[in-house]
Amino acid sequence: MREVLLGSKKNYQNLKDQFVFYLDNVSVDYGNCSALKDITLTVNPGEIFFVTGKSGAGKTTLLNVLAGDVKPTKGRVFGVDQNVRFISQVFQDLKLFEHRTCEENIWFSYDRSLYKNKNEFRSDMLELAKVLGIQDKLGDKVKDANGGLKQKVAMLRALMARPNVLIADEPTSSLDKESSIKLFDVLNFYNIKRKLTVIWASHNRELVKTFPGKIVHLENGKLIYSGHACFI
Amino acid sequence: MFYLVEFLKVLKENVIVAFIFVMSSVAVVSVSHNYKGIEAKLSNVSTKNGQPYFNALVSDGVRVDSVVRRMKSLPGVVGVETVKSLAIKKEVKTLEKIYGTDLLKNLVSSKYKKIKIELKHGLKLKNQTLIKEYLQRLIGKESVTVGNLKTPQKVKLEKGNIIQIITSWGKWYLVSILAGLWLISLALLVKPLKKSSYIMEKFQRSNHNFFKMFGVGLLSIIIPAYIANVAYAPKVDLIPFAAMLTMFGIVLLTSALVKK
Ligand SMILES: Nc1ncnc2c1ncn2[C@@H]1O[C@H](COP(=O)(O)OP(=O)(O)OP(=O)(O)O)[C@@H](O)[C@H]1O
Ligand SMILES: [Mg+2]
Repeated sequence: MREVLLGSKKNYQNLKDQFVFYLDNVSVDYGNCSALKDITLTVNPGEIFFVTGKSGAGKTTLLNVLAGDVKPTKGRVFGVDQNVRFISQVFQDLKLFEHRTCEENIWFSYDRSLYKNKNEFRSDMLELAKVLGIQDKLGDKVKDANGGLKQKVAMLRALMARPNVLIADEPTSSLDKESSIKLFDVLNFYNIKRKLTVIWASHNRELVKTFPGKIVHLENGKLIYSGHACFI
Repeated sequence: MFYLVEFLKVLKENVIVAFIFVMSSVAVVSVSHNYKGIEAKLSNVSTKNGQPYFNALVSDGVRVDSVVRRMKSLPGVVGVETVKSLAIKKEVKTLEKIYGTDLLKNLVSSKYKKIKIELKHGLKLKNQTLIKEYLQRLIGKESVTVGNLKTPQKVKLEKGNIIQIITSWGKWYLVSILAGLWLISLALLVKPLKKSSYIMEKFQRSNHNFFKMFGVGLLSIIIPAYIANVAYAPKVDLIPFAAMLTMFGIVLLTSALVKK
């Protein structure tokens, strides 16, 4: 799958500080359809990275390659072991358990090696839920929830895992502009406070352009533009 | 504990499959613990009842042991059983009705022993008569009364009575049905368990969660089942352990295959 960089401890420490991901001429083909073509890309620690492009441009494929779920047909992917730098995700299809409550879904992130006890997890969860304005809805079944609530639950679950890297695929597709901005503020806070690296895919280029961070623009699987949002 | 709770949640969300899985797991443990008794019961239903036989009433004075031994060695004889004298009074009464009291006067003693002689299916009349005559010669005509040959019907299978039908098929059918049910329910549980272990591994720093959940779940079913069986019928046998190890091995194999 992903090439994991290991070696002498010192060397390893250096590489770890240099980048989160390094893609070297990566292509992904699904049969005849090529979803990604010769992508070379570096993601640095603590960066906020937006992946934009129309539907079918290859955003999800790129994110899956970074997360290690899709193996490149050509090229190499460098990343660091999950135990060293933990990646958590907001999936485009959310992957929530429809028949469970929002809270039960979030408890999937309860890692006993990270939290002192369940109370610590619970109070963290409530605090974050308050910020996102869903603290009253935690007891609702996911199947009864609207799209916006579902996306916020998926985001909460991802953040409660205390990741080093967050990969979010269209996390605001069901949210209005105001909520989208609020969600970005939360991620920006984590980015500053905990050095969270954020990779965020969106087809809404206009929204994303207003946020500080880097943009990678894809068209038909090709990397068209990569640089800071403010220069577009 | 955590994995067990998650396993139970998945079971709760798939009630029917979960019910089949739990029941067939418990059944595998119980059947392998009680296989001897079940084997005997099954062969009783499927063969013994269908065997033609005749009864012989023997005076209490006759030493039956050697008679039984010699009868057993005769070709055409499948089995010989002796029945204790107390149970025979009723049998004597019916014989009196058939043969009249005169015939029975020959039997001096008022106590009798009964021997039940089972014959091969489809034995010719000539051979049946030979066997009866041999018995009379062995004991002496005065000390024995031989009954008619009876051919009990094979247990009639009622339509729709699944338990009867299954037991009439014998042990290997029972074993394969149990194994089949278990494997099918296992296969149906793989998908939801895989989903939940996938999500767990995505958001927690842990690995092999599919196996942990399935392993802990299976153990928490079969160990209480085994303990209950031992408490009910105390004995230690290798077969239930072999069955449980096999089940555990299949779960281990499944989780190794499903990962990829
Ligand atoms: N599993 C798959 N099998 C075959 N083709 C696929 C698969 N996944 C993606 N594709 C194809 O790869 C291309 C890129 O898909 P991808 O999902 O990465 O696009 P996207 O930018 O995420 O689109 P969207 O905005 O609709 O989510 C598309 O043409 C799609 O049809
Ligand atoms: Mg997509």
